[in-house]
Amino acid sequence: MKKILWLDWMINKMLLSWKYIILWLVLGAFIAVSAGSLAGAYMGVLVGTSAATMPFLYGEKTNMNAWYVTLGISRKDVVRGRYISSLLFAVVTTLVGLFYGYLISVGAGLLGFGNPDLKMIDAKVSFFCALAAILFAILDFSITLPIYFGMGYQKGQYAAIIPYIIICIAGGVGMGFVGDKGLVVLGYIVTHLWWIMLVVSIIFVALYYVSYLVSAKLFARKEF
Amino acid sequence: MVEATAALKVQGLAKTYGQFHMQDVSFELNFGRIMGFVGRNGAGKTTTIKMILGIVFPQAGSIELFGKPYSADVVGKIGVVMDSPYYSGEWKLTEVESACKHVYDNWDSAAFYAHLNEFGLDKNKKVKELSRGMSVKLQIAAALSHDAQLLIMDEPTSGIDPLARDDIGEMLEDFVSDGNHAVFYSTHITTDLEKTADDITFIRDGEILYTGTKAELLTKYMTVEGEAAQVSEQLKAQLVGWHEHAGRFDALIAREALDYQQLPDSCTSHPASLDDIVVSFSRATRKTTAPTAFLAAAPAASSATPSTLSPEK
Repeated sequence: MKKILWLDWMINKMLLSWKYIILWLVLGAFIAVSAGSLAGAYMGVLVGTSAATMPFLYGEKTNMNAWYVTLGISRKDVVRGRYISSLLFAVVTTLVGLFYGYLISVGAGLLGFGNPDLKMIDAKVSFFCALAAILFAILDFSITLPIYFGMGYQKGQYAAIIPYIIICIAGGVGMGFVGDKGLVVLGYIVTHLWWIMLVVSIIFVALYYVSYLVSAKLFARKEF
Repeated sequence: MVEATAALKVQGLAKTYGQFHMQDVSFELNFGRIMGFVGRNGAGKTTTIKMILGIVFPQAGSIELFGKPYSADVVGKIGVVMDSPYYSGEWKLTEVESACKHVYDNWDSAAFYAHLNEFGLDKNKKVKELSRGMSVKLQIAAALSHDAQLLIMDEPTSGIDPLARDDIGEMLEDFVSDGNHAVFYSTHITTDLEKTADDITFIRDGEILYTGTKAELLTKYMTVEGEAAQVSEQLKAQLVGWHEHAGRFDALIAREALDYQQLPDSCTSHPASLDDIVVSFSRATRKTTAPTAFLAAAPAASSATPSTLSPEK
């Protein structure tokens, strides 16, 4: 397992080149100033979820998947390692994004680009913001990782968009039906946030595990 | 010296890809030997190697490495050289070393950099900047740096200049010279095998035609050439891989057949090279070559008891 975590890190490390870092710093700053400090967390999670696809890309591009086999890394370990590394990467990028968003927001405020956005100082708000971002990453991985493991990167990158299209359509249609009742639901969520987040976290973690089982089955007989 | 178990033993491998069928692929490689795995493009060489490495699953048969069934521990003792490296093209060679250091149990960083130096590879170059020959040398450097006992190479010298091929050949000879290592490599460049291989396994259209020592194979056949019109049907039935051009022909004949077969005056014969044998048998098909052109099948191969080419059905 350590081998696959190291190799995935070696691949994702390529995202830490200067050109990417500058790109994210600039993009992150723009988002933090325009959308608020907490939006930095979502920028971070976007980076994390994008980075999760890198090992699949290089797995096919250079047939690294075959190399893993010759190193004695089982296909099951590849799946397990990738679920762990994807989540770890998403958590780290979320927290970094959140902190960076705060720095930019305060800095921008001090330089006169509007009021400093101090929401992150509220630990509870910051915690729920980060948790929501990480849960989003878990949901994303639960959907996309089996697609990539089953179809590979080339085909999977297009197929992975389909679930989101379905969710957006369903969400849009659902909002139309819910109407004013949505405000009542939202109010309930806000007043019972801890319990709601706990239940959602448990569900998402369970979903992540089921997704892992599906990926392991799909990848078990893959040939490279 | 290691115990007398085979470094690699393959028995009855089979695989089907669409219209292409591989069946009954069997051979054995002992320590201290270099086995050349030869066949034309599309014969099944790469598929066989991938099955040995576990990259592809055989539909039948068994594989033993160092006397044990395939397992993660056993695979770790194998050095792999494929036609293009598995490493990310964006990695510098120092990063290749860093990756390998954490994935191979017996990795020797000093040995890796020594090999890079020996091969003239700049450690600060990226993998994508290496030429074909350099990328093969990089893989060999890595393979020699983790105490591999068996080198498995797929077309390592294809597209490489003769001097580099010579260097690689010498390297392989040094690798097996202590009797504790073995090399299995596929190629369609028979001249390399003539220089370095001890054993030959010849595959054609997914079937093993021969597996045994190179010396034995080379003694079995003679090349015959002459005026095509003078060749009788009886003689033609003994020939393998008949090739006719501008009224002249060349083909292969079993040495034993020459003992009782009179050649026409215009025909000459000379010892067949490995290239002659491979080309002639690659030309021969089930439809055009009569059974009597082949010797009878011998027992399953080992490096000490070579087998013959399998007869046409």
